[in-house]
Amino acid sequence: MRILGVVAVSLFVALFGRLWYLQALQSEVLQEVATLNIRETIRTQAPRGRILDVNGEVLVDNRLSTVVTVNPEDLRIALVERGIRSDEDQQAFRDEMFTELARELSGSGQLTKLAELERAFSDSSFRRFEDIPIARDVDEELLIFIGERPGRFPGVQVDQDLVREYPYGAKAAHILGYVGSITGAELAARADRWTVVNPEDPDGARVADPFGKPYRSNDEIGKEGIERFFEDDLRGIPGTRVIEVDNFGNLVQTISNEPPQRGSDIVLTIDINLQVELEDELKRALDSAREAVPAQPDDPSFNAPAGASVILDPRDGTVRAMASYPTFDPGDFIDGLSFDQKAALDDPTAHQPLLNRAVAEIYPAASTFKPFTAIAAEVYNVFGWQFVEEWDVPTSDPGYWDLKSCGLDSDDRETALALGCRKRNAGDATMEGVDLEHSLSFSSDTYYYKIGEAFWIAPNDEIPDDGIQEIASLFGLGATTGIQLPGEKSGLMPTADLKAQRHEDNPEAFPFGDWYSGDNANVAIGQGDIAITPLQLANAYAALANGGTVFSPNIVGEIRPPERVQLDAEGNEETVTFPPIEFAPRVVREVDIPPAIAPVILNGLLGVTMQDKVSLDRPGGTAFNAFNKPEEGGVSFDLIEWPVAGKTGTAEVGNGTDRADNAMFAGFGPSGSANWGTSINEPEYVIVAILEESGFGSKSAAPFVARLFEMIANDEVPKALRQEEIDEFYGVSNIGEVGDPEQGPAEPVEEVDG
Amino acid sequence: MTALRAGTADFDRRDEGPLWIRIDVSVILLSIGLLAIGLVVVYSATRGVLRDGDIADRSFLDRQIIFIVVGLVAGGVTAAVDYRKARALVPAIYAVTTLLLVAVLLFGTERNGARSWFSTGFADFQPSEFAKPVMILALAAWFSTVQSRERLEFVNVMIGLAIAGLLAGLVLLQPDFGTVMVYGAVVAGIVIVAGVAVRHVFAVLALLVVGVWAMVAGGVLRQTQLNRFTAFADPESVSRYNVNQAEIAIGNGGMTGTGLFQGSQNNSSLVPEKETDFIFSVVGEELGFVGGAVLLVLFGLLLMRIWRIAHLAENDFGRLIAVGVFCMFLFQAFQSVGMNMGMMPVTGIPLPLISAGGSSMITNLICLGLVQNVHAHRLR
Repeated sequence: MRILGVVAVSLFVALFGRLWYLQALQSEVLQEVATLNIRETIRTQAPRGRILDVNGEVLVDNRLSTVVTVNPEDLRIALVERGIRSDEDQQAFRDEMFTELARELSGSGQLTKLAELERAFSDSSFRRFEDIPIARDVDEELLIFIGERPGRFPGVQVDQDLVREYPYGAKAAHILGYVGSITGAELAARADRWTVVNPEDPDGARVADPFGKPYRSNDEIGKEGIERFFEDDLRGIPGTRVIEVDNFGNLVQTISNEPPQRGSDIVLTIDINLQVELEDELKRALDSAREAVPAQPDDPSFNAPAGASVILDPRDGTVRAMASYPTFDPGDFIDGLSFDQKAALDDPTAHQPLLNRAVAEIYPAASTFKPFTAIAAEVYNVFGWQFVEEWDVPTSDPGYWDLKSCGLDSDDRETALALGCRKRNAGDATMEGVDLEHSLSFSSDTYYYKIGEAFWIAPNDEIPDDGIQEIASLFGLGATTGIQLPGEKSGLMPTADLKAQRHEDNPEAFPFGDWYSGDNANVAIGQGDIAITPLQLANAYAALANGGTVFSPNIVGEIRPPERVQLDAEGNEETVTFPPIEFAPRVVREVDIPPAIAPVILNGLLGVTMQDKVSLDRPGGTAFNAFNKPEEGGVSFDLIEWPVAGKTGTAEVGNGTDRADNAMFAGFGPSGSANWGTSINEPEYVIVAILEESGFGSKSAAPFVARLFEMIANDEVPKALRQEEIDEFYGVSNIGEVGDPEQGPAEPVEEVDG
Repeated sequence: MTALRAGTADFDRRDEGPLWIRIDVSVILLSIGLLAIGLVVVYSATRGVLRDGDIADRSFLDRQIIFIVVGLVAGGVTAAVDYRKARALVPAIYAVTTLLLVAVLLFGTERNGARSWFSTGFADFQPSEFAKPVMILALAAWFSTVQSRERLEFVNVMIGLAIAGLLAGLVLLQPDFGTVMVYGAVVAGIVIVAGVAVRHVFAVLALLVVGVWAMVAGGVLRQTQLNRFTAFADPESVSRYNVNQAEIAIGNGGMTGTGLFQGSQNNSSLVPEKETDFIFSVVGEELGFVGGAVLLVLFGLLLMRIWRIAHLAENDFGRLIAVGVFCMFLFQAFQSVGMNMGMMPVTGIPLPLISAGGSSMITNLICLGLVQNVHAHRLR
């Protein structure tokens, strides 16, 4: 019997030992586990901020959307439970299920290919336990069909979430950009972004920022345009609800509840009405340029594949509209592009629809550059130097300029051409009575070849070699403008030093390092290696228009932070409002335009669109037809009341290739001068257009810009139609619409943190 | 047989006078302490999580009170009838119990894969529980009959094992492995105290190993039961998950516990079967080390008293009865608390006097009645 006593005592000693171990030694660890055990963090999707136009029209909104998802892990488990274990068998089941899904989806009106479902399913950006969206906004009957058949579609679920909505369809796509799933690289780049230095930590360790906006894989993030540039503002703060649940997933109690905070609204300076007209007219201009027949049978045809146009307010440097063609539909990026959509965008014949050519494509400046050459000539006293006449002295233009540096004795055309010493006017046009004003109105190249060469061959202590480039750079040409859009290109303002440097750095790409007179002559007419973006050109013309103030253009007027719902000291919800963040005009520099020639340049540019009413023997300038002759494809409005100063450009592209010239126009209004007997106003609009491979600026670019000026001058910019209004007009029914878009942001969608 | 032990009262025989002055009061007090703790934690485990306006679920508590009352009556009756006179009834009781165990296999209700219950409207009746005191009585009767100064003869050991084996075999067919383990502990204790030769022990163990192997091979023991049995060594299994949750609950209690009704593991139902097999996790979580230790001390003192009663028993029959009850309580307490703390395999064994359940509660109180009976007729 003693044995039993000994056994009993030792067993109880063991029990006490274990009890002590668990409750005294391991207690802290186990208490932590117990806390985690019962807590679940539910994340609530926060609505992104909206994007509005200058008048408060909503350009990008959120809407509640139904989405059919498949969870690979749930599917796998369901298959294993059914005894379908091998990879081949599971693949076979999936094939069958996706085939049926594709058939049902297609039958409900959403044409869906099996391959698309398979591709979505194997999208590597999703982890295997995450829900992968495979179809969106599907017919309600189909939702019920799927919902009632969990056995047939294991792992397939119907959920609701918030997605971007674009009331104006594809309009302003390049400005707005689009959103997509965050990539691994983007996620990594933001990993420690939403932390702040802990003020209480002596080592300065970082802790989570209470106002941070942390990301998780598959969160959406701005990929382009405003969506990308203002990602940090647009993104909302996801809500987190920490709840205590029991073993069956039932709610026991709510520990904490941070409601989602929507992101800030971005208010653009864009006027959607003007924007829509600009885009439509740009497309029309390119379409009609394509119809045009080249003057000579051997000339390259006008492919007019692409173009860009910008409307700026020269008074404060805000962007009123910005168009790029070809374009895309940001709505296609919800859930990622389909195979066909991606293929269409990537197709070389599509000419990069995603590229915002207004800021991210570079072009020669061509004749639109001439006002800046003229300013440089005045600043450095080139007018009157040796072979360059004073700006007010009319001279005759033989249609060419033989470079002095060649030292040719005779006026031998063949020799000069053979040596590359003869710089010619477009079409070898000859002109009489060419002074500075006339040279702008009628675009004499020869006038500027002379100035360009003078800069190069004059002694440096008298005239700097790169004086033209220096002045052009002051106007912001060949450098980024600092607009609030991603991907802006700087372009190039070539100089002798830069050319030598580039040759030295990379002789293979740049075989020539020497700078000649001819290079300077080319720069003077905006050719050579000069590369500018349409926005830069518009910005430089804005400075011309406003008397020399160069702005960093704003496309965003203000950021409107949302009301924030917080808990006050007593735990009651209180609404806190924050003032909007406004973007003031950003002056980069003031350029002194020599007062002597400023009015001359203005008169020259006004002469581009108008005809001298006093001496009617003189014809109208290069854009006269575009602004005065509706029968020639132009417009006609009261230029005396609403004068437009402008400059055409016809840019040679890709030396010696068989591509047609780029057609350009840059102008501003309402302008005016006493000389022309017009009203005198402060210019409010600068419009720049560049139409690729579309021939003469006067023929295609100028009429396009003229139409916009006409609309603006006559105050006839029509109200833009929303996509649903257009659809209604054309009788398109909106099959996919299930949820009420109005209630979109009100009901956030919950996702459970696994 | 007449020797007085130092410090005890100066009575020679204690089977004179009314029963209530002859029984052991400390056993009653310790039992009441355990029953009180049991009622409180069973209520905590079953009342549900109360939010505003919710009404606590008292059904388990109320039934448990009824079971205790029934058990006290049954235990009182058991204590009152002189066990020496009742010895003649043992074969009959044994026979009835055997029939009940056969009947439950034929007509019983299957639950959790075991056909162990007769369903009635109010509570389920579990014959294998009531078979515990019957087996104790039968073994005590047999071994006290064949006991001699010498070691037990092997054939008598085997007959004793057969008496227990018949009941155990029927329970194994249900199958209820946990209860069979309790039977095994009772058999081992009685056989050891009755005086078994060491070589016989080894022989029995060898037979047992062969028997278990045969049962596994023959499919009588189910894989799930084996899994549960080996789970405490396998950190990935489902049973291990249950034990983990119980361990977390106990650790969560710390020194003083989370307070009654405040255990998050309990309230979240993260521990399964928390009002029966895993009741100690609720004790550990809500009452802490202090509460757990008090419970173990009460059990320890109760066992000491039973051991003492066995020691003082008037005859071998009484001694072996007390030894059987001792082993039963010891094993069940150790197995149940040990399982909760991850020391023992997962088997469905209730914690005596604490866990919810009618058959178990009444059986335990009958067993304590038996012990009191032995004590009332002890030698001094």
